[in-house]
Amino acid sequence: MTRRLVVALVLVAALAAACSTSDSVSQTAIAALSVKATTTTTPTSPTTVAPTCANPTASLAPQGALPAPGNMPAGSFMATIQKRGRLIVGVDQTTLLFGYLNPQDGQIEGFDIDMLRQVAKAIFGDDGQNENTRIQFVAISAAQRIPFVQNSQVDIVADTMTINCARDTQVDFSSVYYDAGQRILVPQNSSITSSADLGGKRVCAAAGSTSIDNVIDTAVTGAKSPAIPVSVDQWSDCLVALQSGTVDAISTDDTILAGLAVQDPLTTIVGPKFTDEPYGMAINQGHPEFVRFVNGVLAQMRSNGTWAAIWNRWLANAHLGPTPAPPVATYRD
Amino acid sequence: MVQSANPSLARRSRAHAAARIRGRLATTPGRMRTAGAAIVVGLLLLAVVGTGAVRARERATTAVGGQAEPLLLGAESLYSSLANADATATNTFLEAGLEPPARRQAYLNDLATAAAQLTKVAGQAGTAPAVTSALGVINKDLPIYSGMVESARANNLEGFPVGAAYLTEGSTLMQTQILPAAGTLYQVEAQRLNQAYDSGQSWLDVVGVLLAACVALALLVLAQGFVARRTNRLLNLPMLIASVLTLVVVAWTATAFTLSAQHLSDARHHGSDPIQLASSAQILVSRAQVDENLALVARGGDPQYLADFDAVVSALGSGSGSSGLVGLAGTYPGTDATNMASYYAGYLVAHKAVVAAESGGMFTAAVALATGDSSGDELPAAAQLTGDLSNEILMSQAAFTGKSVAASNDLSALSLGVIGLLIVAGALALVGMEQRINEYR
Repeated sequence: MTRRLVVALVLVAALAAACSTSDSVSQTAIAALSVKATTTTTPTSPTTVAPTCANPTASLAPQGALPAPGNMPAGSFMATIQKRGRLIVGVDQTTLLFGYLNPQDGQIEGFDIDMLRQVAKAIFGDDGQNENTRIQFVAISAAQRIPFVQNSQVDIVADTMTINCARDTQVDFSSVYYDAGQRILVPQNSSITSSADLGGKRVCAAAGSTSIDNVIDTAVTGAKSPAIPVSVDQWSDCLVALQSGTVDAISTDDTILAGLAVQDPLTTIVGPKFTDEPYGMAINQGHPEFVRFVNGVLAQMRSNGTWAAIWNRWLANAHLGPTPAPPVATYRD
Repeated sequence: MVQSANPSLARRSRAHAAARIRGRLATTPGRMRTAGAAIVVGLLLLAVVGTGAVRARERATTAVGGQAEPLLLGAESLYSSLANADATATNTFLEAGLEPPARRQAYLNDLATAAAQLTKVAGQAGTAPAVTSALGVINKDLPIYSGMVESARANNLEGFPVGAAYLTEGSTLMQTQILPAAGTLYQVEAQRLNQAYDSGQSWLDVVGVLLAACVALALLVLAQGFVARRTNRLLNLPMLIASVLTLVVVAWTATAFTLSAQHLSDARHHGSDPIQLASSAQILVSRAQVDENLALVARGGDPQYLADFDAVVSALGSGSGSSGLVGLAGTYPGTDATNMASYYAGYLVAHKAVVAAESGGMFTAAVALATGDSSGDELPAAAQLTGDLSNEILMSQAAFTGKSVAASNDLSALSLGVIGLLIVAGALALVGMEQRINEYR
């Protein structure tokens, strides 16, 4: 009887030892490691059925001559920017040739960046080429372009952004500053030769881009079945995916693909352009005077050779053909 | 002996024999023999319970000092070297051109430490499902991570922005897969250590020994009372000595258990506790650095990193360094609490300067602040804090080793002593009883 009692007691003791609450200091130390931020989800623009509109690329016409740099008209958004002392721009920092962070000198540069520097120069008389004093870069993903403009987190976005009817209802666009078209980047030994071969293939594109909508639309690609879209944050993530073999192809604008192909000589761009992608700079709908101002800057760049000079600086060696004529601006008023 | 083929005769003779035994037991010498046997059984019970408890204590003490703590340290070292490697890698990426050789070396050293600790932990951590799956994740993803960092570096050298993509993907892999797995290992080992401490300090096994001792002593006392009544002799020296020896066993066990538990408690509160606090603080400082680096890389495009920084800092403590992990880590004697608090405060001030510079459009200045390339040095404040925390870990390790060895020494010879003394006590009890029985002849 006594032994049974002792055995029972020993069992209870063992159980109690196993279950007894552990040291509180140790628990504090361990619990601290699982601390998490209250998740803030970046608002993304709702995907809507593409509305139709007459001519989304028609922008607001410039009014009269550009104001002198450093002398922005009172009450205009440009005056606000001038007073602040810097233009806040939303850009891509991963797209070689258009907007990318050069790892060797730490500068963000490219075709889109030079376009924005011209806008800064028109406001301040100084494009901040050597010091980033006149431009503040905010690196955003394709999906962040519209919300960042709508929430006024940036003054303007120049980020290989296609003008279309759906986006035109959410932001204002400048006149077209580049005419791109969607093509396909594949490894050199790939069997894909045009958009018609994309059916059933894993095709990478950035989330929130027009390219990702196009690859699953057989009416656009001409393929028998839709491609399997793989969406990532940034265009260079697509190259990582292609190099690791998790996708069969990357499909987006020829401009972006040209920059990716430069970074991997074992890839090649195939097929003709199967879409038209007119690029515009996005501006908050509350600043029509700024849209007109930017269009004035673009008109000046088209006529005085600056546009061609910037094209030559970035794209002359990108296998995109001879220097094209700047896109013709169309206006709705 | 009765020899009979007749079953009824045999039954009768067995009944007769049983009656004879009952009769013999009912006599005084018979009762004395029974009492002697009962005492031996009681002492045997005490020996079994006592040595069982001592063995359990020894096992727990060895588990604490010889297995659980080294494993926890290994898991901690694995975790913090991985976190630190990622902080260094993402920091390097902020700067243009080739990274400084010292920083590259620091990254490689951290990876080497992680690999060594991984082997050590994998060899000893056992086969619990949580452990094996965590080890599987680290073994699978760590080579991918280091491959991505090398791809990032090669592309950076070429001037290609895809390097940035490799680095962010690598860091994401580290932060979402590898580090959580390392955290699981660390947590499992901490629980293992805490359980070893609890079983090494359990007071219930002392109660078990005391109960068994009470039974044995009660039998001894009752037997002596019975013998005294029957023989009118007050004292039976051998039985008295047996009782005293039993008391000695109880006192020795209780004393050794108490001392050992106290030493274990010291090892826990002056060793393991500060080690875990300082380790967790180090790991969180690394995570805060990764957050800040990636926030700068995103140039304001991704608010999640600064949100995570704020969450991490709230766990580390307020700017005064008087609360949170940094505050707690500073409460231990011998720690450099004042300096730790001021380094931590300095780190937070420098972080504010980085954020202010970045959101004010002075990106280059922000990077210089974050990488410690300017006066106002952020990395030094963080590095000094990390250095102080490392010192605290080393110091606490020494305290731990001293106390856990003492806890083991408290129990040395106890097991043999208990058995030896109880054998002597049992023999003496039988001798004492036999003396009185012989007087009946």
